[in-house]
Amino acid sequence: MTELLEGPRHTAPGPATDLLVRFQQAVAATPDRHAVRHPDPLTFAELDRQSARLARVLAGHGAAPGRHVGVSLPRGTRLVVALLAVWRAGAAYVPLDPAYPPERLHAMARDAGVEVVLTDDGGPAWPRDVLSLPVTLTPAAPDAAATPPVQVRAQDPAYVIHTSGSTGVPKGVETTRGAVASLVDGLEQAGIYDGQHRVVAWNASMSFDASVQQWARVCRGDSLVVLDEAERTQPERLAAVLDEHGVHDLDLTPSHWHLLREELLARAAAGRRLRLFVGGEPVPVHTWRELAAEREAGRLDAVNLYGPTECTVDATAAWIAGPAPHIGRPLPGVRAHVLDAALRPVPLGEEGELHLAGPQVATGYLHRPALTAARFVADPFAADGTRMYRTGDRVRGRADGSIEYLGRADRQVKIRGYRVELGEIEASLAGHPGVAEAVVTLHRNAAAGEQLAAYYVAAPASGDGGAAADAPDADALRAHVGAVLPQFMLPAVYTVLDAMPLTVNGKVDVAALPAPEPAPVAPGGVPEGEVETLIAAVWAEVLGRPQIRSDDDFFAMGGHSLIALRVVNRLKKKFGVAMSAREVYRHPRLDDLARHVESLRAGR
Amino acid sequence: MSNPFEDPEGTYLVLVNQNRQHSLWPEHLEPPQGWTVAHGADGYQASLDYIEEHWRDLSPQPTAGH
Repeated sequence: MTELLEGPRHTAPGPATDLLVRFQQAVAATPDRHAVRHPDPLTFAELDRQSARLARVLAGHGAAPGRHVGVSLPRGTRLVVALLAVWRAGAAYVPLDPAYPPERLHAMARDAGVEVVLTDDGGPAWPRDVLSLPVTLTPAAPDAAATPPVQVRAQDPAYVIHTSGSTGVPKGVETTRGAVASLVDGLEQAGIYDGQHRVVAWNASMSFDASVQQWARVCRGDSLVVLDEAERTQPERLAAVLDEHGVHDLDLTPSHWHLLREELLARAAAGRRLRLFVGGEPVPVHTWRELAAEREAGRLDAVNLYGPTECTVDATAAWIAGPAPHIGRPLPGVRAHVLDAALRPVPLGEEGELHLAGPQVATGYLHRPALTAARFVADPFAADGTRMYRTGDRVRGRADGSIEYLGRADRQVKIRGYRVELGEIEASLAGHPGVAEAVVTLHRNAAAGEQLAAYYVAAPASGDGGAAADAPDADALRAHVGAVLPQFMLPAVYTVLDAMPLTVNGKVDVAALPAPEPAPVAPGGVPEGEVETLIAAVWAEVLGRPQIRSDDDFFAMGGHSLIALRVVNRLKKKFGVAMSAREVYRHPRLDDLARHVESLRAGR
Repeated sequence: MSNPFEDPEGTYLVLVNQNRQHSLWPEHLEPPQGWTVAHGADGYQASLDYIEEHWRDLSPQPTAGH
């Protein structure tokens, strides 16, 4: 029964070739080919020299196998040089997204023991004991001999990716060079990476492990197109970049597809075939069918990739075809077991928890031995002293050997591809002195999509025993959690309760929580004039709010990058003004945005 | 689906493999081959505490012969 869910064994089991060895082979085979095509082009020979030079600098600051180097750079060619240089030095990289709150970045750097961070000039400030090394792309002398990469063992760390932790602190998943090599090998053997040279657009944030599946392809000789924030959120700009560079492959989440679909479908209809690497969250059935129809018509290929960070990016894959979503079969080398509570394989078609084993299983959670030992457990099927990872994902096996995803066994949620432990947001809210208790749920809003809803009970006021009088309001809580959590983890709606509804077991009865309600509209602040009124109507529609005030804040109402894009598209249709999502961020207040739109109209 | 690894009232073993990696293990299940019992049987929290104390370096530490 378990054999059914094993990846096909194409080759004798053995360690996959390290990616830096493969990179050196690519440099030797095609030195003049572009390793990075966009934004700043670099050939393989140039990337070899640039990364070797930076690796030498890193080595001079102690980078070596087993050490962790922070990477805090915006999307771009320098990011590719930085990540490759860390691997060349034998070290592991730790993504430190410059857009995260400084407090969180510092906590992640401390957790990973980072002493050196590769940065941009204008990035965030770092603690005094962390050395910040700006990365530049000054041309390397053509005669500069590139030092070969430091040799590593398969068990040496490759990167540490922090994911949300249920107890209120992010946890760092450390994975290995052997695991990443095995991932690339598995995707090749499964035919998901094409056998020929491909031009690959890299979309996913480096904090999100799907990025590895894109950028590491440079090590097998593929050419990268690194998308910046504007290119990944503005459909016309994305289409232009895909066309200019002849991109073959693009990664995205199902939520992102929803916003880019019109442009991408138009390109597909025009014969510009793309392979989509879809992942990060379950594919909704309507999206699945739409993509399956495109594949059927021979216009595009889409593959659904599933996997927890703890099993190094992708564990299973399915070509998106047929009527119903599923996560496919294990990649070659991955072993999947669907087990009951006694760790016995469940019969086909019955629900069980998915357990993953094989060379892609990560080392564990940095500095969290107990948590690691409880999630990465002895594998009774291999019975050779290796471990399997308990995913917490409820699945069932299908007759054709593929796996169907059913949901989570715990309170982890996915929001626009980001993995979030609701407990971490709750812990952050409960850290406010005015909050006694907090619960966060994922709420589906018909217009705005999935939103986080916070419920809280105020802490008793000191002295007279009164409670609600001192309850912090939504703005105070938003500011409190916004200082420590990244934007995708911020609740959109806050509801104060007298007491949490409880189940008979004394746990919070999530089903009994009231539907989240947006804050009541205060008198005044009614949108005025043609532009304000129309923007208010657009916001009401995309954010699912009955009423919008002229001083309302886009982010405070649950707006995010993908919604900003919808606002931009609607304003373009209504007013004919060309605007970027970034301009929506820069003018989060409705009346400010209206003034900005008016100035654009006047300037036409 | 009750989880055999997350029962605060349960009885557990702590297993160790040839790389000094540790695994929590429900006492009522047979420990897999390739692992030896390092601690237990003991309570849930006591077993986790044992692991925190005895497994400091999570990177695999092959013992002689590996």
